[in-house]
Amino acid sequence: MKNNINEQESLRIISEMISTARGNIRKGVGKYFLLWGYLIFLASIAHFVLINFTAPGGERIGFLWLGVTAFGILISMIIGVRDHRNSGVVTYIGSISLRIWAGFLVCLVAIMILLKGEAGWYTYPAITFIYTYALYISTALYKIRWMYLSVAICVVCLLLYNYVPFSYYPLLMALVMLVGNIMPGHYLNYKGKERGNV
Amino acid sequence: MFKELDPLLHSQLRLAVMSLLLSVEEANFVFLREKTGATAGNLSVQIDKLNEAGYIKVRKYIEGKRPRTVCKITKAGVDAFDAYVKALQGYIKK
Repeated sequence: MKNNINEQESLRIISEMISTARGNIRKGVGKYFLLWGYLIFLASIAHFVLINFTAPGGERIGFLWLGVTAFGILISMIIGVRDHRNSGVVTYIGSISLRIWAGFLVCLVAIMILLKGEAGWYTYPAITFIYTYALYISTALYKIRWMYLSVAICVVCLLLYNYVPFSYYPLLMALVMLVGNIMPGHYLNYKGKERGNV
Repeated sequence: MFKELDPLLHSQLRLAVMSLLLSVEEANFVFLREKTGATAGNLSVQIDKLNEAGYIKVRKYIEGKRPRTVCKITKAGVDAFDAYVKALQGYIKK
């Protein structure tokens, strides 16, 4: 490494290093998207089956969602601690993304607590509403253009809640998870692997 | 009249470290070594110089049995980098 560099070299180093760090979609960054995507997707399908093909039982559904949320939080925390240990760098994108989805999770728990009984009808639309907003900000952060299409599909699903019976709400949520979490999750993992970043 | 370039930043490795740290919230020693391609000894010396100047903040700790070094750019570092780039622009426009 040289100590005497000219102006052109200085500029080259600066732009090279900044682009190296900024384009850093980390390997395995999509795992949180996939974890929550598959969890909620499967829970939604289970919910759909429970309310359409089994005897009524609100308690089972409550336990299902409580269990899924608790399990997701637990696994996310374990992965988070392990990632923090192994990670070489904390990017601004990663840091902001974490805060967005942590905020979403707090809202999710608040909605589940607040919307009970008759108001339970509004749980799916309320969660989809804040989810779509969080996904929109994440899309802007990661600068993945096709994810705006996922956001648009989420908005359409949000509007569809108004026109379909409650028994089909879980299917809309499953679709939201498929386009908003599962597909972007696989894409982010593929990109991280392709770039071979830390 | 050209502004003098900050001698602390006008070095290939120190400039590379500062540019990397400007783009991320924080980075550890291994990340910096991989991205700059520097040797551990040289990088360690340059990090110490930047730390002494107050341009970066270095946090050292032991995790398990391994020592870890995490670096983060400071407000003074961002200001110095900004002044360096402005001075550089002056030279290039000449």
